[in-house]
Amino acid sequence: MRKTCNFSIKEITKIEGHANLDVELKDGVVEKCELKIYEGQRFFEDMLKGRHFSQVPLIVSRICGLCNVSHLNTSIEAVENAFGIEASRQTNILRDLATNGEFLKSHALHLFFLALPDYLGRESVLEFNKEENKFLHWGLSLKKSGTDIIKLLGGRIYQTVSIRPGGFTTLPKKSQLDKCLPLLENERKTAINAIKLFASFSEKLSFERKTDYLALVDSNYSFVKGKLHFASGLVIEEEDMLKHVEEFIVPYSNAAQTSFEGKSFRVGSLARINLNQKALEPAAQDIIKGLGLRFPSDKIYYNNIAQAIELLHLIDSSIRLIKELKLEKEEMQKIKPKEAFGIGVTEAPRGTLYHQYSFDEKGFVKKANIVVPTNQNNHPIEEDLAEFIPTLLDLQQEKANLEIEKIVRAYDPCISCATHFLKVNWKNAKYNL
Amino acid sequence: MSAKKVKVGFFSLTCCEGCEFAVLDLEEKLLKAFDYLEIVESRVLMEKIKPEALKLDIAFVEGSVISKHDLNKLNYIREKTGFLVALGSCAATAGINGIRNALPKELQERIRQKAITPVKEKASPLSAFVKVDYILNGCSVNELEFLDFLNKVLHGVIPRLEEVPVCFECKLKGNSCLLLKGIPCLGPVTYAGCDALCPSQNVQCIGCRGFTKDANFKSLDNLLKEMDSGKKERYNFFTYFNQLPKELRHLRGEN
Repeated sequence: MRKTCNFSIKEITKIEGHANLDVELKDGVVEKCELKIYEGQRFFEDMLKGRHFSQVPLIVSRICGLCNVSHLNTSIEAVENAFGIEASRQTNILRDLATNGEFLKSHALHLFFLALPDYLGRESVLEFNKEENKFLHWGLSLKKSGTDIIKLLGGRIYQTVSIRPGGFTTLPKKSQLDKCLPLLENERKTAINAIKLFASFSEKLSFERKTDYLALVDSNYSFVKGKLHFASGLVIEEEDMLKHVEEFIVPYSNAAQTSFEGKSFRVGSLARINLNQKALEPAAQDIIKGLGLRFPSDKIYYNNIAQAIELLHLIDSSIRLIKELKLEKEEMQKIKPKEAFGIGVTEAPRGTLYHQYSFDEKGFVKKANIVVPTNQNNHPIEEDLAEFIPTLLDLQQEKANLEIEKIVRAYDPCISCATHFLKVNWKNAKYNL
Repeated sequence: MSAKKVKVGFFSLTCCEGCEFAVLDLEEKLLKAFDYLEIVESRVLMEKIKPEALKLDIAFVEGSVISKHDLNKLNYIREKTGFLVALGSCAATAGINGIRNALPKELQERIRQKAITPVKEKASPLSAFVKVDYILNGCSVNELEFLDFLNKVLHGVIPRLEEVPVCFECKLKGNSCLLLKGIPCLGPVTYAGCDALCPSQNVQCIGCRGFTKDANFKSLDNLLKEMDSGKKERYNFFTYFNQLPKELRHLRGEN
């Protein structure tokens, strides 16, 4: 790669969605590094205007194929928050289980199908050799341990049906849920192997950059409840997120970015473990110690190790939840709409997810605002690359491009989520539409 | 069956990409089919498009045409493909993306002018621009229907599209009718093929598989009205996944 050059990486692959990267280098210094999300905007916030609250979760779950349960749960939290509904204990547990299922699916797919080829030096999983093919079976069985749960609770794996504001429209039998246990138990060792596998790559990929992190922190490692913690120290209530996190438009991209006190921050598995390691299931904490892994870490590739650690946590937590659950017949709560405002914040597989709605007296949406994890991560990705690219000058351009893509993929970005909308006229925006 | 493998590609335009993942979820069942087919393009799986991908026997395309980029890509795929399948609601009917087509003109225009990617006036199904050889509808797509399609096509048979409404499958499954319980449901006007998934879970059909050719919208609308469903609710309901049918134009207005 020349010290002074301009280059683009078109259609970064093996990520969820469509993005290009444009770079300008001058004398070995990055003058411009722009992650261009060109996937068509889908204007979800505008599409929600005038829609009945009962439709909202079903529409927003279509923002993302991979994390539809997260969008569903977050919007349900916001709707219930607006209309003063307190979900029953059982409903909360079942939602936690469905969330676990989605995280298992999402992490397993990302780690084994999208990230692993990078670490093994293969173009794609289709080029794995016989020995490496076993990793695909690891990925598939881990994913299945999650999708079995989603299918039982949600009716189907993608775009689930029965998870609604007020409860579940149908409940599985306890005996059906119990049938998930053998696979979950069996997948414990796969998850442990996965952690060892991804930890074994940590030497190869050592790029690190000191930066801030944000995650929902709770003593049970809940993905739904808790307070928002910044690694730099600030702790805030869920509903105050946008008082501190500022969203801004970037002129070259269809996806907005965010900052906290003018600086970027990372969200996702690495942020969660950095901030809340002690709340992980005991087995997950033990293996971190056993392998001598150090958190908090500023190495972005540790995000993949963190995802693998979460796999084990998710399995143990799911086993516990299913075993403790006494599934009882429960009617859905009736919701009476009123003029109201509601916020929901959860952890999605890729990081903190924020939904906010205001409703009129009949329960129709007046305004909606959604901030997804990938918008938050786009900003640190660019900053990482600005630091990382100058270290690649000795490589041929093609090899350098691959190294750059690896960083982007380590974040597990979800472009479909990032382009769910078009932000207009944000205060202090870098670029006003 | 000849030894030559059928060349297949998966492509996505603007959408959530859930349909491609739903299909990949077939796992072992799909792996078996790999004996007969070769995946030459799947951006989710691969690093870069291979030159040999330039000729395809079957292309599965998910997503709607929203940007000029989408349209160029679709034209390119059509040119290189023998048999083009619209995968999922977004590709088949514009699906949830189509909600934006009914937004106020002024807002649409502003969105269009300011978007980074040149955006088209409407979110459109594939068939608005190219010949679509087959439709696998639904949000998300029914993976078993996909597998069934694949099996038949590999044997040289193009399956017949189901032309019955969801009610038909509800009857077969012995579900009690949601409309009779006073719950609004789009089952009577929506194509079956989903095994009446939603009504079987006590959830109303929201029309994700598209409206049937001979649907009696007026009668269903009257029924919903009798259930005290207001004009705005009904408009909302009919336009979940589909454009407002001409017969129901009177519902527009307040939105």
